[in-house]
Amino acid sequence: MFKNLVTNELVKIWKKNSVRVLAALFILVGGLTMFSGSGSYGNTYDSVFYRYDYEYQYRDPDPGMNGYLESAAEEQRKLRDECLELGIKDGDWRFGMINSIAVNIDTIEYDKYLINGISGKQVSPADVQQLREEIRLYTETNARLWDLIVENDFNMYIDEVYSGAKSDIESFRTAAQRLNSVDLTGKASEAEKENLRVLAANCKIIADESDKFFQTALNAGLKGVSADLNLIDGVKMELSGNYFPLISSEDIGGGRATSQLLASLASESESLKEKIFIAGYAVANGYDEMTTAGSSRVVYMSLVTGLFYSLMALFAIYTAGASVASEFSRKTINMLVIRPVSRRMITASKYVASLLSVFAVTFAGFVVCFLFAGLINGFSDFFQPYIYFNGTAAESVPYLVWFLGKALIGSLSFVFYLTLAFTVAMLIRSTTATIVVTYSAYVFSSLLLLLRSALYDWIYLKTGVELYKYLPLTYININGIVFEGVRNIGRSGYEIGDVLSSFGIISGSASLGIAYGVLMITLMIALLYFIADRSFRKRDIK
Amino acid sequence: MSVLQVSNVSKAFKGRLVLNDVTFSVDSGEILGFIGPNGAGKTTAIKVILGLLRADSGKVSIFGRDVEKEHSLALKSVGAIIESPELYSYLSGYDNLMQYARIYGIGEDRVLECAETVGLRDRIKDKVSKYSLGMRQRLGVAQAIMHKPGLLILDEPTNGLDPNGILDLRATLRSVAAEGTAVMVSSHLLSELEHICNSVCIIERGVVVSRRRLDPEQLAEQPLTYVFTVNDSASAANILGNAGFSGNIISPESLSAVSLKEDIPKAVSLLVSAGISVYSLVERKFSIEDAYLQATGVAGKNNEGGGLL
Repeated sequence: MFKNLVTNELVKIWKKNSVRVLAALFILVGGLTMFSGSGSYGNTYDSVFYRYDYEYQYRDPDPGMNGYLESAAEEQRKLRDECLELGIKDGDWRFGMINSIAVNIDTIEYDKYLINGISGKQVSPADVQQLREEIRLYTETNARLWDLIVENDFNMYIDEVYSGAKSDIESFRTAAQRLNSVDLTGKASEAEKENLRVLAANCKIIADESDKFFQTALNAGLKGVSADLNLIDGVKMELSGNYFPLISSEDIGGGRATSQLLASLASESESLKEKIFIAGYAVANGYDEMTTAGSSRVVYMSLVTGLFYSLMALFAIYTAGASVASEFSRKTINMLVIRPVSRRMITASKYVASLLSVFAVTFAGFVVCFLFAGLINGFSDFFQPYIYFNGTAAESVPYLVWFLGKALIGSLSFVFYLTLAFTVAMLIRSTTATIVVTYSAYVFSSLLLLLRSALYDWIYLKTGVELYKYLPLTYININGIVFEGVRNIGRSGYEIGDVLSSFGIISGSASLGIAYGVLMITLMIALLYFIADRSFRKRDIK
Repeated sequence: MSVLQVSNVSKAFKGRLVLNDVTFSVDSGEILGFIGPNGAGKTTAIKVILGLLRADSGKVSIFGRDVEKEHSLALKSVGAIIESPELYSYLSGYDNLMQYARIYGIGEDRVLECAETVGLRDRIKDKVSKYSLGMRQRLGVAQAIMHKPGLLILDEPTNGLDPNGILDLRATLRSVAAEGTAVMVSSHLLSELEHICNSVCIIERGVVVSRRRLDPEQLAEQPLTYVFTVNDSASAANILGNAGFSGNIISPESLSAVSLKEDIPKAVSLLVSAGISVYSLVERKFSIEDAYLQATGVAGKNNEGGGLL
């Protein structure tokens, strides 16, 4: 009987023209959006040179600027031709270096433009001296990088990166020693002395922690394989991109700076340890290029932030709303509930049919995305191992399995919105009102989450209790959690503990994990369903 | 055996009593006309019977099963149209029927047979949105009889039907009743019910004011209405009224009197003795309209100030 009821509901859903049109549109748009969301800096000529072509072609330069733009473009075209002559193809690991050279060329040409005085800016002889020095350094760097490109020796490249990182570490260590040895007696205020002490301590922390990362990585036997490229590079980038500006900022004074730094380091440390585990696993199993951009895997990853999930939430809301509320507004519910089936079964069949419909459309969207991505990037990527960190060790599954598993958990988010729409429809019994109310809730969920985050942060400040970790609402957008990683959700814009963690006041994990999140969102879904079911069973149908 | 038993059912909306201690039953093979003015509580009563509304007190049972406590079992053998049959307009007639056929475990053959019965075989694959009101009504009847129910409840089933449709419906209802199905028909067209029903239940302001059968044997024991054509209806009314007859002045030269058949010679004799010229005397059968007028007291109201008999 239940199967027949579900069949009835599926017929009712799918015979509606509006549902079919929406589904077709969402599958196509959603699928293509997922696909088109591929990383913009992959290992391809397009990704490296496209932005320059675009910039030079469409910017509206002043007459003086034309020279710089044209010469930069010319130099970069030369670089592209040389790379092509070397036989470098899309997907080559050397595109990172090629990109660096292209960026440096842009800077060199701009410096030349300043020196020549074409811009009309006043450039002093001292500035000219400095610019010339910069040009020399960049030119040397480019020559060194080009040598590495020509040699095509990955180990040599790693050595280069590693020596750069070691140099950074040494510079932090030296800075710490120098700051500690400064004699400040009688020459500085207490605040200035405190600042210097903090700065010295921070430099030492950075040097020590960074050193630990590299030692761990080297002990794991990662040097010399492509898998550790991102690890080494990641540490180096953290040092130069994040910590250095941090300690040199004006806001460094006081104890807060140290706690901020420690929180950031703790977080990075966790992240890098995961990478070390993953890279070690890759080395042990002979896997290669696990996280290189440009493969179709990167394309699929983009779906969580793309339009697709948003469209699916809208489809879920529309389907559930129409499945329930339209029965009331058209009064067809009268003819349904006078049948020899319980209202509980009617509710369940409508819910299951809505779920099946939404999952079918989602699946079709994935298929569209996979087909496009596979045709262009190759289908073999689907079956390459995806290495992940399970909390204690690294493991691997075929990429497709990993992705679909994550997608299934992530889909709990739109199951939540579907159930919300379902419940609202049962309560207010109007199609339009249901869709407006529920979709508004979806659209404004970011704002609500931010407000909630601020509230929880306030509670934390007052009581020291990290309430946000435990409350169900934290886990509504669980697709963000499963794809971005639990560890990162505290920093993902409007997720939990956002306000405090951005200031380094809260450290560590911002949630209790995916399993807890799944439990929470499931409980919320169950509660909403219970309300819908009870409302339908107990209320009169006038 | 009572197929439907409504016992002491009351229902209020926001404190307003819509059904007040309603009690009646429908037997196997009976076609009950459920009559009442607008707002009397007919549709509310039907919705309570079908489980759409929950009674505040009282009980409804179908084939001995409590509708509230044993919903599925009680409604297993019920077919119904509530108000106008609300169908899925974006589905075809066939798809609409299949919606309910799947619930009852009925195959496609029976669905098409029912479509044939109600004269929709040729248009059954068309979308309901393209149907006329009469066609929708026919489809409504088809879904109600599809599973051969033991109790058929129809709310205003002749709405929108053309004369042929009405004749078909009459035939269908008589046919299902002859097979033992209990039928309950609500309508405001008293003359239409006259042709279909063999009993009536009259409800007014939520109260059942009359429940009677219209079978010929029973009707023989009922007082009948006789229409006299006379030279002076006012004087004639006084004479008959003084003798204990009840009735109506219809015009200056005609009046009606309600009487048992054996008392009519006495009435004629009284009039003639008093010098009233009696030109004609016609017996009128007891109708649902009479029952309705009697039960709701509308007749009495019409007579106020008009020379009561």
